Amino acid sequence: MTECPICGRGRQEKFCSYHQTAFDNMKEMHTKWETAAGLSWEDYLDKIGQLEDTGRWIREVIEFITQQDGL
Amino acid sequence: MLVTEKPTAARKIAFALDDSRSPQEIKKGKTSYFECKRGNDELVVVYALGHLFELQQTEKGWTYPRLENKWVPKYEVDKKATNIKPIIALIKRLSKNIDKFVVATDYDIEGSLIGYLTLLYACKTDPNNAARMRFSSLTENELGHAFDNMDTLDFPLIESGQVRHEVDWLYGINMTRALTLSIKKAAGWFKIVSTGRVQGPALSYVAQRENEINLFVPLPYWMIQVLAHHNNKELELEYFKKRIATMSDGEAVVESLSGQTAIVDKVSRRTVTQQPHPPFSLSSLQSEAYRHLGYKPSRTLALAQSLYLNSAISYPRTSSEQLPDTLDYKAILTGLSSMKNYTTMAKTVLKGPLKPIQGKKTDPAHPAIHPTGEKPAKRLTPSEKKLYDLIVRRFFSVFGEPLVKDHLRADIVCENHKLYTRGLQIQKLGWAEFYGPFFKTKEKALPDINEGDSVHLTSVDAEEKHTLPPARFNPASLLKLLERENLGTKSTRSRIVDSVRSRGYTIGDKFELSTLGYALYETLDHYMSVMLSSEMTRQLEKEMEDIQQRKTDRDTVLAKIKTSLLAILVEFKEKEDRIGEDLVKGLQRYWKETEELGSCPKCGDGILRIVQSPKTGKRFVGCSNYKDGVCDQTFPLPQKGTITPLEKVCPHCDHQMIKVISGRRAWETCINWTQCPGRQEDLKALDERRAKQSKKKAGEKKS
Repeated sequence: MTECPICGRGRQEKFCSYHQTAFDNMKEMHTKWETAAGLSWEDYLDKIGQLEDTGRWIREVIEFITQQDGL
Repeated sequence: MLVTEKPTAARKIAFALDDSRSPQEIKKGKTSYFECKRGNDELVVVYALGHLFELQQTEKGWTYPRLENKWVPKYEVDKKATNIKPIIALIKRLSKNIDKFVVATDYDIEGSLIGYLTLLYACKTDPNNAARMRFSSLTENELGHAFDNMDTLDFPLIESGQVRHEVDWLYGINMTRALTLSIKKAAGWFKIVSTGRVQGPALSYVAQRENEINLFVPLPYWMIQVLAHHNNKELELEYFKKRIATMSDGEAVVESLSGQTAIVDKVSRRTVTQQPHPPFSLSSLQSEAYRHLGYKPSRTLALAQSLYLNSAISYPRTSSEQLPDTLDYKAILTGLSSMKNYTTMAKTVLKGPLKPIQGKKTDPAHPAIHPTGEKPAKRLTPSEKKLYDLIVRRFFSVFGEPLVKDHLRADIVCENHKLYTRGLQIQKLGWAEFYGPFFKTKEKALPDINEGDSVHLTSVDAEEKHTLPPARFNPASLLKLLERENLGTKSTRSRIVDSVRSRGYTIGDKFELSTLGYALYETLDHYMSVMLSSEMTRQLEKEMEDIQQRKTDRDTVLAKIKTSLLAILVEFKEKEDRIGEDLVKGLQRYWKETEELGSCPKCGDGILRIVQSPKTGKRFVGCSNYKDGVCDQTFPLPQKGTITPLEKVCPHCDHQMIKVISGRRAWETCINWTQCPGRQEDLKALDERRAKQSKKKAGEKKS
């Protein structure tokens, strides 16, 4: 088991269980944003990254994947 | 001999029972007792200071499992409790010539246990021969009545209290040691990480909420905002659908309504009556005091306890929301009418039928919290005054008439769209008049509008909004949840709520989980979820209730608990290495986040850390290379409040920024604040404030 690239916790998948759930959650919510506002994945990341109430783990994942130049 | 719980209570009881209302206080060193005479009885009134005896481990070694204990004087367990020794010695000495012992402690589980243990271990008498005074307020009438109608001790209640202490001791000692020793084994550090029977589930609730917040993705929705003109006045209208799910649907509504004329379809009025809120139980008082006064539950309990000892209110540790018929309402209201703030209200209530509204919850030992009508013997502090005002006003309001309000609504149609505007008018304040500052509602007049009127829609917009994450707990909401889940007791819950924060598991008033809290939660959740389970604790609460109802007994419950605890500890031991490693990783993250302040500007390769001087106890920032004699860089820190490192540097001097939270004040500064060129004005203002404060203090001392 290697470390989560975001927080250093152990991981089974790409991230630790917290950041993996955050990532899965983000993907699921993107379909809702797409229907509601027609946002692409990049615009969606940009949008929720700016909203005050976006969760901490979600922000950390956004920061990571933005630095990685997108997934 | 009357055994009371506190010096203030002893004085009150001695005064109330003495025929001439002048008991004699006999001083013995730093402690004292009272002598008084009632009829043919000569009474000695002694006091405890809460619990005089505590549980102590009987087996040797700071390890686990440790399942055997005994009751010993508190000073043997807590070295700081030196004031207990002379009190126990005095009670022991005075007990030698006593014919009859009476327990006159607070009538609840803890009070009964304090009395019982004092009789057993200090008075060295058989509690079966002792009597019990039962009272709900420290007023002369009630104390006199309690003395003249004494009963035997409530042994099931005492047994249940004893088991509660034993179970809390077993879980607290063993689980805390297991966690602490796992860290010691993994990293060699001795860092106490505590948990307990109720603290574990409380932490779990906070952590689960934090998870939801951390994983929250806001979703968009659109709200239709409509402004209209009617009779040359502007109206704000609401759209019948609060939330429109998509931007295109929102835009379609805007297009369809813009510039249109709508017709008032219906104007309706709905009259609603609202009964008074029930009398206060401890938890509803704590919740209302937090809402209106900002007092956390433990503070409300401490203030209410002080008001009780001052004879101003009834016993506050009650679950009841009911006032018994036997309570002399007239006497209480007459008493309150002699206090100038309450004269008018008390007289108004006295004119009506004295039938209070009652709540659902009951408590076999005490009625709902109410004023006694007696003037507080001691001057109240400003905080006590505010809480007393809340209690008195709630008491008046339970006798009040219902509040009557009219909800007004005008429904407006435009093609197939529905709009409306609303108003609220209070017809009769009723009980809310008494509740005064603690009743909050906003009246809103409905515009002069009639069915069939035309309304021109001047501005229609679809505003993008976003869903909100669940709210973090505050002290009152966490306490309420513990009560709803039947975890802990009315007396212990506020302490548990405080402990979650004081142990460093949460930050700030809003119970934001700290890295340490996470480390503990995620480790236990992964390896030993039973230690976070509310099910086990709830089951224990039920067993303790069953003891009170004589459905089971102490030995049976304790045997069961020891067996299940042992199983938990055996499982823990098997996983000790992994648990220790994970806790150590979590602690490292915690320290990095709370104590590290970046690299040292002087030596370059050291790390700046918040450290505490072992000599003075003062905190400051020091370099990690100091221990090797390489770097002596230090920065002073504010000594009060909590400090959190921030991930930014000062725009004036490039040093690391920190956030300081002290009381209700929070501010950001840099670690170089005493030398920073951008903060000299702040420093000057601070010096002036300090000079002013010391001048004021000197003036107070002089006067």
